[in-house]
Amino acid sequence: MFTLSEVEIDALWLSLKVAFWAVGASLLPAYAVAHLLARHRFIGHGVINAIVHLPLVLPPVVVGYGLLVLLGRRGPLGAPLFELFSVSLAFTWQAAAIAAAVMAFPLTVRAIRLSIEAIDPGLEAAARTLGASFWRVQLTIVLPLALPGVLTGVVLGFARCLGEFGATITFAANIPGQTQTLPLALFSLTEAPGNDMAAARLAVIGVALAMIALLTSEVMARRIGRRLGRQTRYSP
Amino acid sequence: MIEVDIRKTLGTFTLNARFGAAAGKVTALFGRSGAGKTTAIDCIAGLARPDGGRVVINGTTVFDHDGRVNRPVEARRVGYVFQEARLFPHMPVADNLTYGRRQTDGPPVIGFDAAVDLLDLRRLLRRMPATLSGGERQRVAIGRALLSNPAVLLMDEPVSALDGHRRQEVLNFVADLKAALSIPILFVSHRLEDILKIADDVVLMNAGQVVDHAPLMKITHHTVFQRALGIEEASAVLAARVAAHAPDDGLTVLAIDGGQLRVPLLATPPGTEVHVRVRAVDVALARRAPLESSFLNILPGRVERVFEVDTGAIEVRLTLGAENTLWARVNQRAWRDLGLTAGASVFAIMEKITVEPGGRS
Repeated sequence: MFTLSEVEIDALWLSLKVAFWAVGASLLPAYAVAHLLARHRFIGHGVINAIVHLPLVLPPVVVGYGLLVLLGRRGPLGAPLFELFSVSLAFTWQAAAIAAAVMAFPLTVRAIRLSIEAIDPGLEAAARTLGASFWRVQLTIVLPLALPGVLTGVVLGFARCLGEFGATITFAANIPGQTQTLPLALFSLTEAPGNDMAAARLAVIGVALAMIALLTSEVMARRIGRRLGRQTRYSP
Repeated sequence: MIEVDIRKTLGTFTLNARFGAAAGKVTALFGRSGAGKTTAIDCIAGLARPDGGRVVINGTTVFDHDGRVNRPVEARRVGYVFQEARLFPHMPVADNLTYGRRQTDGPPVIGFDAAVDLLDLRRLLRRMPATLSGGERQRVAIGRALLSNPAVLLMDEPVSALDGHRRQEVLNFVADLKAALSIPILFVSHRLEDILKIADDVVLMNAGQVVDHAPLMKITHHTVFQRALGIEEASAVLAARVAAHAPDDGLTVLAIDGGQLRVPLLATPPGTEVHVRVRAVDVALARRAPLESSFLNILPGRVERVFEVDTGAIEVRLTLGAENTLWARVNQRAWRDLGLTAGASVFAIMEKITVEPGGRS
């Protein structure tokens, strides 16, 4: 029987918590940025697009270092945060979540942006002629039709968060029970001799987690697709 | 009532349109593609912004460049039926229909049940748009626009994506709407059949300009109208009245200004006003009336003007009676042999005549 040790449970639970908060907190900004990039043309469009995609191409360690500089206790953002609220982020699970959120952001934005771009702008124009305000159009037309993409973005982002290593270890460090997520625990195990079995177990847990996430999104996407009549021409 | 006086420049194209549309009437915007018809109604709806001018809907100024008025689309109360129905794919028909329901804008143009019955949508209410046929989609789109309680109904080629049967079906519904509603309907089209069927007035557009705004019979006088129809479809439209039936001969006699026409027996009672369509390619000319021939319809007329349209062909504009216009397409060589010039008397031989029911409403 496959039972989990306390260390494994700690790492798994922390990974899920970090990924959940990272994706949860960045979803709304990701949607807003995706909408901005998909539906608006403005000066600086390319620059924003590049900045959003930067974590995708930078070494994660660079991102982690950047966060450390920015949000560290003496950083331009970290210093006021500490002075005003006595909040110190570095070496906490929140830091791990921030690192994961930044790394996953481009993937989430990209998936949502593609699905918004796929929506016929004519539908939005039609909704407006029917008297719907900008916000009503967003809530009743764009968001529901972009939902498959939002779902894909969430799952991709979630999976990316679970696997995040470089930025996390740089910004949040590798403290068991505090910032040691699954990949970090796996890394520690492989550093010391004689832990092959424990490392393999963690690897299996990681694979299982990723599979569950992907399958869930597949099922949900299919259900949404059916509702839009894309796959079946069914009528009651 | 709607009044439009707008200017808009798009690249090398300039729209300069001034026209009105009365309540309870179908006003057709007619012209070849690129004439600016869709841009014009987009400016009315607020989907495009004119560079100058005014748009007034039912006394409410929704756009005035000089007065800095530019109401957003959602505040203009326009019902817009697009060429592709643009139904919301994630909502069943019923939710599509009620999407634009506005309770605050006075008594509704039409009630939900009335609209559903008029457009025959009852059995479609729970279906998803992806499962509907093209004609059904367009009917839902019309119903959806009407149920938003619009002050004006804009239709941009609503039947052009449909095949013959569905096209007739949707046009019949639009014709019924006209009788049931008291708002202006603007109908963009480049097909004469559609206009014959439902339009009261025609706004003829060419290269961004309004050429004329008149009943269809008067519009056929314009060469740009004929050019927009194309060689095969170029036609005259005459107002006619059913004079008598001759069942033994299988014929109905129609009275027009300038003579009589005989057409295959109609079911319409004597006295009914109808439209008669005569294609230019179906009209032949002769200096003298053919004495012994099988042609049923030979009328005397006068050559008014001659247009060289393309290699080998001439289009002749004739006057029948006081002011009826008839068009004939003749080979250039044949025209030279006839030796006629403007003002000459001539006999028009009509090989084929199409009768459209309805006429003036």
